[in-house]
Amino acid sequence: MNALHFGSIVAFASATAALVGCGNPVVDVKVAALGGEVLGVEPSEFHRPGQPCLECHGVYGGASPQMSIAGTIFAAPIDKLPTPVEHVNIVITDAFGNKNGKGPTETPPERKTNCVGNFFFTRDEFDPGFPLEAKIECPTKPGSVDTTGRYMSSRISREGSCGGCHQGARDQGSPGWIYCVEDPTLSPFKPPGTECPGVPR
Amino acid sequence: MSRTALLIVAAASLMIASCSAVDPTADVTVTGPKFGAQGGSFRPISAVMERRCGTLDCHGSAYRPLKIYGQIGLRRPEPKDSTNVKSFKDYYSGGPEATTEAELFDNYTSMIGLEPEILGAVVAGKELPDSLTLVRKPRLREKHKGGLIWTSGDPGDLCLLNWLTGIDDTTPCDQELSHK
Ligand code: HEC
Ligand code: HEC
Repeated sequence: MNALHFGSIVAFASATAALVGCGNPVVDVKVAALGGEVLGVEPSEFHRPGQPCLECHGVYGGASPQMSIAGTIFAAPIDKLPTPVEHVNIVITDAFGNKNGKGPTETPPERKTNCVGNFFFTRDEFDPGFPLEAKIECPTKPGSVDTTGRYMSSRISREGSCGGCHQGARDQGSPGWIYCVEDPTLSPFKPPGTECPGVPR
Repeated sequence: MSRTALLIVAAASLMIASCSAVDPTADVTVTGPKFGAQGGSFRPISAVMERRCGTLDCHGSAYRPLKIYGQIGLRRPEPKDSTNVKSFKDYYSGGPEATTEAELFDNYTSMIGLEPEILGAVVAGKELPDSLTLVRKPRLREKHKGGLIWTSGDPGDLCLLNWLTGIDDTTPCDQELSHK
């Protein structure tokens, strides 16, 4: 009887917490700053490339699915939103040596970017222990199975959105977009066509 | 006498003691740990702070009381013609320009500015290092949003302790930087 009571109190408390969470004023302000959806692109894995996905898909954001790590990979480091790169494999190693959600001795499952360069892990797939190591494997050209690896040498201490740090041009507060090719003039990657659901039609 | 009464008495005397001890016009001078010529003595300690604490999602943020600048995190805001920077095009987060002396100096002041009086006492050998929040937080002996960074006696911890207690040995700092 006591236990039952306790159970219902807890349930009630977490329900209010969830409500309060949705109305977190700081998160609301940050989310509002990201602007609305692009007309013609559904809220889906193809929306909002380059944005810090976890502002909305994190613990306090309320958008479904809840994600632990997410981001976008681009072709080259330029100021404006650059061309995305598809089929980049992402390898995230957490503090326990788990890779992409699998144990240190298991083969990490592939996690590839889609046609707008987005990728994500839901919290159910991978609930990592920070800090994290990030590596990307870019196809050498569109459709190629040969890859070039790029490593982030510093660690991610707690931000699950790549876009939380990698944003826009390189400057004194950001390493800039994550990219596959250093020199934009040498990039073999083309912008996606309208067959990509991330491109408004 | 009841327990409550005792407590009140104790609190009251504490208040008196502290009121009479404060001279609002007094300047307190404290001697900090070594910075060295061009920040040379401090650079190895800063390097550990930059890597373990100063990522952009933690203390590499302009909004933190302990703010750490450096090559792989937040860069000190500098105008294009600043003489603090060798090559402005290489001066970005993750860029090739090494942590500048101006960044080192700001990291130094940020670290000693957290609890200057206690820090002065630690440097003078009158307080134990773990009375500093700077030492306790990474050990998670005090609430720390970034969690456990190292435990007492780990290379990073020793790097900081050596510096605070005037021991010139920076091998623990190199050790901390060499492992992942
Ligand atoms: C400004 C808030 C916001 C940002 C930023 C955001 N999303 Fe979303 N996302 C939403 C909302 C709202 C939905 C609709 C589902 C819901 O209402 O819970 C959604 C839906 C999704 C879905 C689910 C589609 C489905 O059919 O279930 C995926 C996958 C997704 N987003 C991926 C991403 C990725 C990847 C990023 C970053 C590149 C991102 N989102 C950034 C708000 C956001
Ligand atoms: C806490 C801020 C932060 C977050 C979050 C972050 N990065 Fe980084 N990243 C950096 C910084 C700073 C650099 C430049 C220095 C370095 O390489 O560590 C960098 C560099 C990189 C590089 C190497 C760039 C090059 O020169 O080729 C890659 C690849 C990379 N990050 C991928 C990622 C991916 C993928 C994510 C998301 C899973 C991510 N990063 C999240 C801060 C961050």
